[in-house]
Amino acid sequence: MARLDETALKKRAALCAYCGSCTAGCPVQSVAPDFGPRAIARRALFGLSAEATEASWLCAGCHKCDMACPQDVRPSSIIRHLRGLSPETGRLHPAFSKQMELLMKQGRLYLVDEFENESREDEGLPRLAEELPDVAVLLGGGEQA
Amino acid sequence: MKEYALFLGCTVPVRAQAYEKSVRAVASRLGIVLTDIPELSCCGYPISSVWEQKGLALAARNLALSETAGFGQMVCLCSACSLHLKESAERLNHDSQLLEETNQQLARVGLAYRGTVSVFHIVDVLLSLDFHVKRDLSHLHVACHHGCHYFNPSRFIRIMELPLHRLVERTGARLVEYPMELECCGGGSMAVDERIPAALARAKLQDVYEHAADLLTVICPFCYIVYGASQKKLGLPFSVPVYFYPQLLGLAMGIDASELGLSPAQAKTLLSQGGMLA
Repeated sequence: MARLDETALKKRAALCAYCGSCTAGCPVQSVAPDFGPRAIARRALFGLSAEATEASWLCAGCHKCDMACPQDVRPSSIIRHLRGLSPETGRLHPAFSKQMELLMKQGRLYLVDEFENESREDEGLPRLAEELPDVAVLLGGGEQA
Repeated sequence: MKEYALFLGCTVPVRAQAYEKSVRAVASRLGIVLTDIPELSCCGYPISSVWEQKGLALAARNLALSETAGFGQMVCLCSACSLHLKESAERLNHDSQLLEETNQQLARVGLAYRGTVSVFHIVDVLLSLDFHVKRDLSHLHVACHHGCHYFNPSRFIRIMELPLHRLVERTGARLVEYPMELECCGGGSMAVDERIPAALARAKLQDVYEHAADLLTVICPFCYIVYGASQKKLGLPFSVPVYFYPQLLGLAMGIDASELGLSPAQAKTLLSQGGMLA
């Protein structure tokens, strides 16, 4: 597993020809004009990781930027790279630490308990396992990124 | 007969039971056997953009459970699950070093993955089947929303046409095309800022409404939450009913509305015209 580092990040960002196709096609940018994959890639290249990481959290993960990019930069991979560095640099967004917490606790984002299983049974749907303790074991290891 | 392990993920079994019910109802009549594995967990997608290896390990856990239960094919209802599991299976099934590293993690929970599972979205499965339409839905004008993760990134998913167009036409309903059809629901940003999906949904639903669609059909629980379950909060001066495609298909096949997760009122609206075909 290639370790995430800033050099690899800059190498990918350096492929950018600044054309802006990614940002023009970005759905989030159309409703949040301060956001844009091109600006994130440029900030990453200039070593402005804090600003770039902060911006990265609004990304919806739709991959439209990847499909628009004529240079095959794959802007979404820059965003993932920045997010991947964030637990070590103390920049992790609370929404993501919350999701990790939920998965460690219950194995799924939405709780399936006795109440939920009863409501599923009322709908004629089969019960699901309520406890998935192995997920916390799997996710809790020392493996980085 | 086609047999699959059914992958429900986090959202479908709790917040989109109508989708799950309609898929089961339709599948049972099309000779598709869906087997439940109660221990399946989150697919790993939600955490994978931060913790790539942990996201992959969680996907591998689900693939290994399916493989161990004897299923070489797994079918997903959620497009994000299907993207993440397709992508993870493609990587693990073709990269022996990555498979070995991931198996070292899986060994901690007593699992091993051999790299034999193929992953499908329910739409992939429906596209490959013939079905008989018994009820006339030609009065319904249907707009489609595929959602990004059914298509993107295209290096994993290769599609030359919009599959819901063909599937809607096969139900006998009328297809409504509209300019914003391929726009994203923004669901992926919801946990960070709810205003993003809300703004995207307002614009898209307006477009659907202006093109005189009777309803919008979706194939992903997240898209449903954005356009359907959250629609009242958007403050729009009109409403656009949102249904999962298998609910429409089930109606066309003559299945009772209650089996498709449709309320009597919804069924009445959808079937106010038309009738059984000769």
